[in-house]
Amino acid sequence: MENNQDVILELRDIVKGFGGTPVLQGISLCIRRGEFITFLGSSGCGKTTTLRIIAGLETPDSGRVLLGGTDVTDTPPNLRDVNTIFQNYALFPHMNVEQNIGYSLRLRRVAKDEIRRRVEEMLRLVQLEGFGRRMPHELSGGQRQRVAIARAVINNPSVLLLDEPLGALDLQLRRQMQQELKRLQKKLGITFLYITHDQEEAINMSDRIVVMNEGRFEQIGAPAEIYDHPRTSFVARFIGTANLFTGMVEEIRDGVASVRLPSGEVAYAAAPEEGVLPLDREATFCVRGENILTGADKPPFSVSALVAENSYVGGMLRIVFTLPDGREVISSRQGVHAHIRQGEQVSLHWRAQDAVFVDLDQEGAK
Amino acid sequence: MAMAGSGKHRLHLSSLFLALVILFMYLPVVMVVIYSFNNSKSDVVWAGFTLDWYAKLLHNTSLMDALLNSLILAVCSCAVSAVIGTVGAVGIVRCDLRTKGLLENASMLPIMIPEIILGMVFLAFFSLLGLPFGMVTLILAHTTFCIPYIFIVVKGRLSGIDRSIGEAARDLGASEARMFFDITLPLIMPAVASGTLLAFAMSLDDVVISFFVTGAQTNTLPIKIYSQIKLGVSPEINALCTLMLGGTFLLILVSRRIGAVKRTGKRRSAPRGEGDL
Amino acid sequence: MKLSQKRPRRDHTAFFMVLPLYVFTLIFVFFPLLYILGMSFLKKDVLWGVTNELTLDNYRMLFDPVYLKTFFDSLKLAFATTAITTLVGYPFGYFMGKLPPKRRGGLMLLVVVPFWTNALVRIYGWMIILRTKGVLNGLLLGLGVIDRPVKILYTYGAVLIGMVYSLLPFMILPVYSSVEKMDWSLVEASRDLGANAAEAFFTVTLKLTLPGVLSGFVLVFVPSIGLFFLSDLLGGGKIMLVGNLIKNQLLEARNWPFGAALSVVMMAMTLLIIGLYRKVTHSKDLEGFF
Repeated sequence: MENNQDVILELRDIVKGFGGTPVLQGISLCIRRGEFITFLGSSGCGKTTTLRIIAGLETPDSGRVLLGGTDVTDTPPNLRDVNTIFQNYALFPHMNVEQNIGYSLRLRRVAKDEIRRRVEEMLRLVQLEGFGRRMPHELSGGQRQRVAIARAVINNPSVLLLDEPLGALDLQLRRQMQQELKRLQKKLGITFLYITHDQEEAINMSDRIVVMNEGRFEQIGAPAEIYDHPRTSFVARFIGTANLFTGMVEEIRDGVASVRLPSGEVAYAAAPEEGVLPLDREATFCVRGENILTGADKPPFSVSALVAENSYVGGMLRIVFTLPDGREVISSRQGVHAHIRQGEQVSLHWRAQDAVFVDLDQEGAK
Repeated sequence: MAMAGSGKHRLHLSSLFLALVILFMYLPVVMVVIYSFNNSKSDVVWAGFTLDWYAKLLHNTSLMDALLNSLILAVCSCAVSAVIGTVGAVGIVRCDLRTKGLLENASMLPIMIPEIILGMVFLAFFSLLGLPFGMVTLILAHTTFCIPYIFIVVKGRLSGIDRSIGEAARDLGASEARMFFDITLPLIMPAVASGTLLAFAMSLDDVVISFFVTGAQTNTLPIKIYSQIKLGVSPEINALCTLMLGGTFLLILVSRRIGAVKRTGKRRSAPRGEGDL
Repeated sequence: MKLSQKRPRRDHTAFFMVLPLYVFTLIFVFFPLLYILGMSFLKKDVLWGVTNELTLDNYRMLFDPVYLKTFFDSLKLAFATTAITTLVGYPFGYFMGKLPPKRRGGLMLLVVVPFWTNALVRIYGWMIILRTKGVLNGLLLGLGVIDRPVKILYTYGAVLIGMVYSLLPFMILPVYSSVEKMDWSLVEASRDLGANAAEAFFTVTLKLTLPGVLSGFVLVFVPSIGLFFLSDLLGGGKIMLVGNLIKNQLLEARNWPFGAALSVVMMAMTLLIIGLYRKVTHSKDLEGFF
């Protein structure tokens, strides 16, 4: 595939199973130098295993891992130019902060003065000056996190692997650390491979997101692309509020497809630029909650619905509509919409470009 | 008010019960200590305070020899089993051999089955091998039942250590060996120490197995005491036992003091069970 | 491009680490046990040792009324010991687990210290107390409870006292460990739902501490069959237990195959008990054992 200088890490068709259960089912990926790439998926989707294979803590059943163009599939973790920040930080409990951070330099027999200088530098970088003599258990969660970061980047690895590093922190601290990590990544220019199950975190931080599901990559792309153009219903559901409609494709004209829904109503959606959308077949499209518009009258290409529930969630109005067939449509929007009352009959519509087909044949996908 | 009163009352009763059982536990121990100072050859009547038996003890060469034998035996078998047990526990946690479960069970057998069977088994097996009964057979037998104590304590500790700590060391550039010596060993050292101490006490205390595998020339202290008690006791035994008791107390106090210092120095020294993967 | 190796490198290291344990267990546990099993089917030689003839006589001998009685007596003593240690040890472990943590540690130390001192010495202490002219008789005479010394030492009762005494910690520690681990909010919940103290104890506490009690059963019952020196010293050799029988067969009667058969039966019983424990509690390790 891409074989230029920019690719720092390449996975080729990695397959891995544990005791007969497939965990990774042939995943391939190229990661560019300096990129912040996030693996997003629910627990058990194989993202941690992928990371462990890159780190060398796990060996794939088949497939190759290339680091800077060199095949490292059989290289033990200590000889790989990759460092990891573990989920529980994995600080050495019997070493103080300095010793933890300087451990990899000691292994490389760097001179003592040099080690001290670089550890000081690292402590400054993660804003932990004066904490060098503390033991890990004397630190708060956020401080431990910083030590783990300092320990992992002191060697300037070509790729830094981060396994849900903020999972154990409370929300406020997490937000703050997200920004700090982003700042750190810019400053150091190290490629970050980040793992999380938190979609918001992924969208906030990443250059690219890899959505994983059951050992496969569902979609790889920039956050906006993944949000606006989910390729599969899984991605659509996993990120943001998605409303999925399935119906028969009746006509495609001027880039707009009309779809007859089970209720008999016709709605429209943007015809895909790539991929095949067969006529007279069932297809599913997705409309983001904030793109659902409501009206009291019933224009063409709209769907009638009943307002089942409206409530404020985190400053947003969240409305649940019920369609005649009992399915729910969820819409969230900014601001006050006093005119939408519970039990009211309304019609829902959207702009064609806001309705995106998902789960199409993947031929043209790559 | 009534509730609090009855609660307090119950606490009193339970404390009394605890005290009575403790008394039961210490009664024979106290007897031995008292009679070690008794100025009479028989330990039936109290004939005044003396330290004679302690002086005589020092000149009782056969008893002293037995003590020395026991110490040599305990030190040797504990040293060997500490290595085998510790290394084995570390290995078994990490390996995925199919016979792992079987091995674990088999290596636990020596402390699961009644001692007497182990004794009989060794007696038969060592005579089959034609080994001369004496210190060598004693060390082999004691090593066999010391390993499980150390193995199980170390393995318990290992399962409480987050696996990613070792992986972090590997990730940062440590070889297998460096990881073992830099990370694993320091973290399991307390367990190795307490397991070995336990094994040491068991070895020092063992009558049944030693009884079967010792030679005519080699007496361990428990065997010497056993035959002396059967024959009719000289109060020197009381004196020796009192000294050993004192030694044990001292050992425990010192080890607890060290433990306490360590604990306050670094509370919760390892993240236990904070999940893995 | 070759297919990557199946096994990660570290498995080789792990294997070499386990190897000594493997070899040692094989040579000093597995082979000897196998040897004993084999020996139990062989015929005894005239003087000592074994011949190559196969026989079931050794097992048949077990049904000799004399030996059956020994087995029966041993089991009876083992059951009695287990029952008494449970009656004493359960409340002890329970109360201990309910003490404030600071006092718990101290009490734990008190329980463990005698356990770390020589078992024979402690038994000897009992001999001082129990003998006819001993401390207990002196006390009872002095109090006027009895008017002439009673024989306590060298009776069944003395052996039982010794057994209970020696094995009590093995009941206390697992019970304590399970009580300490217990989630007391469950008891509070059951009280809250209307159970009185006794009901809460029997429906919740006892159930949750059962693994500890069962572990205590195993840890007390199994060794109590084999402690021959206890019956030698406190029973004066008149109380015959399986342990004594094996010892005699080996060292005095020199009938090794019969001794082997006895051992095999005892071992089968032990494994059965441990297997039962695992089945009932669904746990591999004995609760509170270390």
